[in-house]
Amino acid sequence: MKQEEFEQLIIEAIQEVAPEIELVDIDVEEDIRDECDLDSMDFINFLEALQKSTGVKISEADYGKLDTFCHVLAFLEEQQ
Amino acid sequence: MNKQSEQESNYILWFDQISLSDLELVGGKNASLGEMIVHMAKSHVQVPIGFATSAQLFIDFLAQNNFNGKIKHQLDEYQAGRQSLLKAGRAIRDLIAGGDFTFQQQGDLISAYQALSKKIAPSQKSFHASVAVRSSATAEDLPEASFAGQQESYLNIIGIDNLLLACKHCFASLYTDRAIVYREKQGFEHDKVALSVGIQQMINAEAAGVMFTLDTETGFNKVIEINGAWGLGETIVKGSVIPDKFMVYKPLLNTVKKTLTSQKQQYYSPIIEKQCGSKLEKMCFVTSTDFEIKVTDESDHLLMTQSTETVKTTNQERTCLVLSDSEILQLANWAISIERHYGKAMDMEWVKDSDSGQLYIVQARPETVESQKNHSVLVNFQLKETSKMLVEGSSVGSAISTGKVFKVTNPEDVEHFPEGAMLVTEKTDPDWLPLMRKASGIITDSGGPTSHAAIVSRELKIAAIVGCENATDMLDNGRKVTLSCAQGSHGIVYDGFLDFETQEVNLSDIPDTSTDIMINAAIPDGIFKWWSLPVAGIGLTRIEFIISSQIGVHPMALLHSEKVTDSKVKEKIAQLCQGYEKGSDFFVENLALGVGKIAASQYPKPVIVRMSDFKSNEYRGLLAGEFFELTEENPMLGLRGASRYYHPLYREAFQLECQAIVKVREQMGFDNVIVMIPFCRTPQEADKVLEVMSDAGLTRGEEGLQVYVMCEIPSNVILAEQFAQRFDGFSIGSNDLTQLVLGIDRDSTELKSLFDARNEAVKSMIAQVIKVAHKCGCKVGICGQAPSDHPEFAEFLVSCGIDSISLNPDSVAKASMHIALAEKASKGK
Repeated sequence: MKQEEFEQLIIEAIQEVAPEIELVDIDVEEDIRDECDLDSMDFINFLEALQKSTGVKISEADYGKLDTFCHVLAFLEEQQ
Repeated sequence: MNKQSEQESNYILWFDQISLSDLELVGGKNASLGEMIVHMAKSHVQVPIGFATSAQLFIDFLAQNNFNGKIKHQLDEYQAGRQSLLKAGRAIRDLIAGGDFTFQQQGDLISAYQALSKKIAPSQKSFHASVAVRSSATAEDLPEASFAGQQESYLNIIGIDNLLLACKHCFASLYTDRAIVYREKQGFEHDKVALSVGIQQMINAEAAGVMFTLDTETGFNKVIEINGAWGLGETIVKGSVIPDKFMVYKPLLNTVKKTLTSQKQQYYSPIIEKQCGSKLEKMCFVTSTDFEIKVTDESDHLLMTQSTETVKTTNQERTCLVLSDSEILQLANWAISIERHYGKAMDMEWVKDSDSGQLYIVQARPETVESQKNHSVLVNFQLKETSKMLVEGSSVGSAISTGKVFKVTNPEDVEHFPEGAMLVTEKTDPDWLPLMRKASGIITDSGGPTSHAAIVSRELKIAAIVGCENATDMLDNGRKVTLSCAQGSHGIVYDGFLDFETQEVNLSDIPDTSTDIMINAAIPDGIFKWWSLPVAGIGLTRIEFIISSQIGVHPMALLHSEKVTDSKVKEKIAQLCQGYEKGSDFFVENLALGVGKIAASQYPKPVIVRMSDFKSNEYRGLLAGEFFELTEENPMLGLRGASRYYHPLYREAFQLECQAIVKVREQMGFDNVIVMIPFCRTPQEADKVLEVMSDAGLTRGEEGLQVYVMCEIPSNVILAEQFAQRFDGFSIGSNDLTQLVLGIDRDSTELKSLFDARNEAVKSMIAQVIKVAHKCGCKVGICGQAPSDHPEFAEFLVSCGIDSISLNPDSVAKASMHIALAEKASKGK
């Protein structure tokens, strides 16, 4: 899968919990929860959606690495 | 919002939805919390809210991570001896702590946590509540199994990531080494036990402690015992601090005062103990919100150092009690409600919130130690072999004990006294109470059966031999000895550890007697040990022993500190009185607590309290006594008893004693207390004393107050009719009466053989006073060991028609037999 496809899937997963968010709205280097105003529950739902659409297994131990949009992207590329 | 939060999850159970019947789902601890929240709300018992994870979450968690096979493998390796418990346990715990929740499980936990946060702080948006995360083990086949204290608790957990981590560590703690071994010993299958996690609003404790619906030392079930210290309750549970101790007498709680004059309903305040503990440290929350929980490699515990910390308490905190009177009563009321609801003795944890100042109950479980002991049995001792006799003296109690000699010759030795050693000393000191508790027995050079050592040993039920004269010379440190008090009043110390047997006397076998059998009490400490004895009350409580054990200062020094010219003594007094408005409050409060505790042990049966009967030399021995006492040549016949009470040197102090009795009777509610005046030489003296008492609020005949007089001077017998007009009863003090009738110093060794209450002259006096008193409608009792030691003396008293006989508690069983026989014989005549 290409980088652009992952970017698209990430934003779609975010939109599942926060439909108003567009990629242009957020700083990809900043904390993703702050940027998209996700609470803990939203964050879990976002990860669940992401795992479903990408097929990449996301375990709890990885949550720490998934703090920014860029890091999520890097994680997916690495794991695929 | 999200999908999961709208449907009821079978992983989460709110406390207010669960009850004791959900034991299988959520374990004993959580079920009990639910039960309390649901059923105790109407009694206004506050319990912090929360929720539990079901056993199903734990079971699914192990299954989805494929842990079951791996756990079984580790356990098999350990059981086959191929793997140490340490390593197998660690491997299992690491495995479980590293597992993953599914998204749904995480979602359930998160939404429950968010809902809990919302309930705690409805107005705060995205508030992260601080919670306590506790394990509660469940066993589907064994709902009654107790796994208390084997699994972990995590305090002050904030935020969802920390919560999830803490939950997993709770899961892992089902396999602590201790829990594995426990289940094996009990024969429980490991895979049949699951774990529920309780997530409860964390109260930021200003103070916390534990509470029981009985006295944990004796099983006396008419009191609530409360312990408390500053900060979180873990310091008490661990035993790292000496907490404050409070006691409340249940039957008088919520009893409306009997005073008819007052329109407003007033309740008694039956607090009978308030002991300030040292409370050297406290555990509190770390105030910074910027912490995270970490797992250490060395230990299996989550490193909680960042969420809680232990700090030293301030001097102010150490000298202050953690609870006010009204808080003590509120907790006691809750304890009663909880005990009533469960229908059994309970063990609870309480917390006082530092923000709101409100009290909460955070745990409740049945008490299982004292409440299940058999209290209807007394124990008798008998030696089975003998050896070389080392020293001898007067025995206290009737027990036999063995131990290694530890001599205490100077105050420094006190600190090094080992548990279970035989205390050998010249004489004991009231400060040594904690040490004496640790001793297997006490042997002293000096002192008699009424010395401090003897009285304390009796109260503490420790075997003792007093007045051995040369014990400190004859017994070397570390020597193995056997102390035997089983041969009557003659106590013997033997060489080596001897074999002995104990025999039990069932209290229901103690015969009923028409003569009232009562007991003598000295210090309040330990008085509850005798609650199960079938007696008619307390025939003698000596206020002077309460003064020396609980107060220690001459009462006049508390009223007239200006007369105390020694600055060191002044400082000591100031220290003792810390926390009291006035020195006299310290005296009245502590004396009232002491008397109240003794009165509680027998309420509503009569408890006779004798006003202080120190001689002037003994008063001098109290702190600052030298500034207020005369030096008398012969204190035994000097300023003592009634003469003291209206004398300018003591009158004010006596009024403090009276105020304490008023407090016990009218504020605490113990109207079973009868006042007794000792050593009253003339009827005119009696009038003066009764007047002083009345000035202090104690009027004979008012509020049902009875006043007795000791009958211990020949004048009491000769003018018995006049005394009988002024008092409600007589209590014969056989020692003083014998001394004064026969003219023998009761401490004289030369004349010991002549000193005998069975002397014809003494008996004639006794017979006479009983006759006259009965004619005047007064009751007559006797305090002393003679009826227990000498069956014929018991028979004599019974034939005279004595109303009551008061004995040391340990001789009640034997004396009852004598008295029952004597009654039979006198009926036959």
